Amino acid sequence: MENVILQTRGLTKRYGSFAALDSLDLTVQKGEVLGYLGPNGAGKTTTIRLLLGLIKPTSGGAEIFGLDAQKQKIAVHKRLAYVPGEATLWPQLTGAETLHLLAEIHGQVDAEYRNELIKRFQFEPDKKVRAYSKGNRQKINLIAAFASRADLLVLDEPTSGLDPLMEQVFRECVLEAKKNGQTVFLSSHILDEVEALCDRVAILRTGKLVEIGTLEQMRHLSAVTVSATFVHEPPSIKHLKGVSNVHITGQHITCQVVGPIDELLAVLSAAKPKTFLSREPSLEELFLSLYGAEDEHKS
Amino acid sequence: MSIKASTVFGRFVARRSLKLAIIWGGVFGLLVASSALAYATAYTTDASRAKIASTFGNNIGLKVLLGAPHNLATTAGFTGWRSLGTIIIFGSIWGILTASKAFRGEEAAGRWESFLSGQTTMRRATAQVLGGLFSSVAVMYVIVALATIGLGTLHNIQFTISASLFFAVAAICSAAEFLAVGALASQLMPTRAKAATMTAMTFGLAFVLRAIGNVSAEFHWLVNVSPLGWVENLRPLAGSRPLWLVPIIVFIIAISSLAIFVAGKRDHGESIVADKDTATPKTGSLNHLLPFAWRLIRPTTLAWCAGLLILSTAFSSLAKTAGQAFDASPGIDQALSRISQQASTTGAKTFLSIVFLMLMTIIMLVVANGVSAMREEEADSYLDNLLVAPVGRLRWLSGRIVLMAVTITAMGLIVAVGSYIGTRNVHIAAHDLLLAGINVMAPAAFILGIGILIMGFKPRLTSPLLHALVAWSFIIQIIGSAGNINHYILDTSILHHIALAPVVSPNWRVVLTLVGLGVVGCIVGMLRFKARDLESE
Repeated sequence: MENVILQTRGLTKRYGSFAALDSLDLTVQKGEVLGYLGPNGAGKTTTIRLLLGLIKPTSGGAEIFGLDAQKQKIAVHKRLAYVPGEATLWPQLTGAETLHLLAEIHGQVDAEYRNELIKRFQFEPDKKVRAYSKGNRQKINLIAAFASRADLLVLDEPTSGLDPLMEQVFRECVLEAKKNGQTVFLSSHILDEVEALCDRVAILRTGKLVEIGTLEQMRHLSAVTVSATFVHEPPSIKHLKGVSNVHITGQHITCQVVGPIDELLAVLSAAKPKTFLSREPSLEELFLSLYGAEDEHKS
Repeated sequence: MSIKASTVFGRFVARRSLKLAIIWGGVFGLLVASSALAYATAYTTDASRAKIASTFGNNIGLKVLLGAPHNLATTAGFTGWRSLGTIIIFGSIWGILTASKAFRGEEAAGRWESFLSGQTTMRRATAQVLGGLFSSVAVMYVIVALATIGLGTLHNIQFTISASLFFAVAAICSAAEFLAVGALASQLMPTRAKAATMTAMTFGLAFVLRAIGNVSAEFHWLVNVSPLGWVENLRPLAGSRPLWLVPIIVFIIAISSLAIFVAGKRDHGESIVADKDTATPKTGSLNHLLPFAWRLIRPTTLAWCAGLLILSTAFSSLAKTAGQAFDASPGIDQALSRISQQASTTGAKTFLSIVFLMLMTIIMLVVANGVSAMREEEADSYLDNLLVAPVGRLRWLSGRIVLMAVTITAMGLIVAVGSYIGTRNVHIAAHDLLLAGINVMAPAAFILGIGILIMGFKPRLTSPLLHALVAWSFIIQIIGSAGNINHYILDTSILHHIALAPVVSPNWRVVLTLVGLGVVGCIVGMLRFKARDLESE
C-alpha cells in the first residue's frame, strides 16, 4: 500500500440518469506512468476533475497520497501538478508572469529546471498570453507542471497543439519525471505517445473501465495477427478454435487467433507456406478492437 | 450561398445583444413615462410651468448635462428635453459597450474564428455583426415608440402618434451612432478595453463640443458639429426638426462603411493600431492571491472610482441652482418628496439626495458587474488554474468578497468627497455628506450578498438576475416617485427602503439590516460554492 499513489473505489459521477463515470476502481503505483484512454465522452476528463476535487462524486471516492481527494484536497494539491487540455490563462499577463504566478500559488518550483525547460520548449516568456498560439499557451502549463517537480503529474491531453518536435521534448520530460520517481497520470488520444511512455494502460468506455494492465498483458489477452502465403490454395482454417477474421486473397491468408496457436500452426505448416508472419497487436489495434466490440455489441 | 448561411453571424450577435436591448428599451420607455407623468401631475397651472421653464431654461449646469431645453412650459417639451438628455447618455454607453463586446470581445473569445472559417469574409462578418446590432436597436426603437405612443394617449399628456414615433427615432440615434463608432474602434484597436476607451473618448469629445455649444452663444455652432448635438437638434416633442436626421444617418453609414472597409484590411486577431505584445514582467503582485485578484480588477475599479468622483463632483456642484429651482416649485418639491420619502424637503439637500440615489444605483451596478466577473472566472475556467493548486475555494472567494467590500467602502467615501468638493458654495456639513456616503454602501453590500448567494446556488443566473434586481430597484423607485404605486411593489425595490441622505439622516436600522443580509448572503453563498461542482460554460 505504501507505493500506491492514487486509488479510486467505486468512483461514480452521474448527471441525472446519465453516468459520466460508473464505479471506477483504479490504482496507480508510485513512479508509474499510467495511460488513460477512451474516446470523446468516455469520462476521462470527468475522472480528472473528480480527482482534483473540482467536481464532487455521486458515490465512491478517491485517495491520493493516502489522503481523501475531496476532503483533503489542499494537502493533495501541494504534491500534484495538473495540465489541462485547453489552456485558459489570463490574457493580460506575460508568459513569464504566468509561470511566476503558477509557481507562487503552487508553492513549489525548481527554478533552474524551469529555465532549462523554457529553453528546451523554445518558449518566449516575454510575450503576453493573448499573443501566444494555442501550442505556446500549452507550453506554459507544461513548463509550470514539470518545473514544480510534483510527486504526481495529472496530464489531460497535454500535447494538444504541440508540434512534433515539442511533443518529443514532452516525452523526454515525462521520462525524466519517471526517472525521478514522479508518478504520471496521462490522459491522451495519441496512442503512439501512450505506447511509448506508459507502463500500464487503462481504457475507459462510456464511463466504465473496460481494460487495465500493461501492454504485454493486453496483448496476451488479445488476438495475434497471422498472415501466410502458399504456393497452392491456402488451407481451410475457419473451423479452428480461437481463429477469426479469416481473409483469403489468392494464395495469401490472414487471420486473428486468440489463445493457443499450436493447432493453427500445425495446419498452416502442413500446407507448406512460402512466407509466414505473426504479429502482436499495436495499442491502436487493441483500442480499436475494444471499441469495435462495443459497436458490434450495440448493433 | 443561402441567405440563412450568409446571415448566421448577424443573427447570432442579434440574439446575444437582444436581451440587454430590450431591458434598456424598457428603461428608456419608463424614463419617458416618469418624466411626462411627473411633469403633468406636478405642474398643472400655466404659472407653475412658466416658472419651471424660466428656472431650468437658464440653468447652465442642466444645459451642459441634458442639452438646451425648448418649450419647457409644455409636458411634451419638458419630456422631450429631460428624457432625451438622459437617454442620449445611456444609449451611447450601451452602444460603446455592446459594440466593443460584439467585435473585439467575441474575436478575443475565438468565436469569430468559427464563423470566419465558414462562408464569409472579415468584411461580410463585420457587416453581419453591424446588421445584428442595428436590429437590436430597432427592437429598442419599437419598445420606446410603443411606450411613448401609449403614454401619449393619456388625457393629461396627449402626444401625437407621429411625434411619439419621431421621439423614439431620436431616442435610439445616439446608441446607433456609437455602435458604429465602436465597430470602427474595434477594427483599429487591439483589445476590447482599448476599443471601448477609444469609443468613450469620442463620446466625451462629442459631449464636450455639445456642452460648450449650449452654454456659449459665441461657440453655439459647436452643437452642429457634434453627433450628440445633431440628436439634440432633432428636438422631438418640441417642434420636431427631422432634417437633422440627415447628418446622423450619413454619419452612421459612413462610419459603419469605414469599419467594414478597415475590417478587410486586417487579419483576424490583428488590429490597425499594433498592439504591444511583449512586456517586462512585473511580478510584485503575483506572489499572493489577493494582490493578484486586485491586479485583475484594478483597471476597471479605478476607472469606476474616477468616474464616480467626477460624477459626484459635477452633479453636486449643481446643488445650489437646482435647489433654488426646487424651492421655487411646489410641484417638483412634491415629486421629490415622494422619492426621498419626506413630507417636506429643502432644495439643495433634496437635489443632493437624488444625486446620491443615482450614485447608489451606479455603485450597485459596479458590484453586480464585479460578482458577474467572479462567476465568469469560473465559467471560463480561469479559476481551475488556481483551484488545482493548494488554494481552497473559500480562500479564493472570500478574498474576492473582501476586495469588493473594500471597493464599496472606497466608492462610498469617494462620492462623499466628490459631493463635498462640489458643494463648497452651499452650506452642507461634511459630516452629513460622510453619513450619506456610508448610507450609499448598504444597498451595494446587500447586492454583493445576493450575488454571492445566486453564484452559490444558480451560478449561470448570477449576472442576469443581479442586473435585473438593480434595474428593477431603480425603475420602481423612479416610477414610484411619479405616481401612486402599490406598496407591495414598492417594497421590492432595495432603494425604496433606504433613507435618502443627506436630506434626512440615514436609517441605521435599515443600513444594518441590508449589510447584515449581505453578510448572511455571502456566508451562505460561499458555503454552497464550496460544496457544489464547478460549472464552466
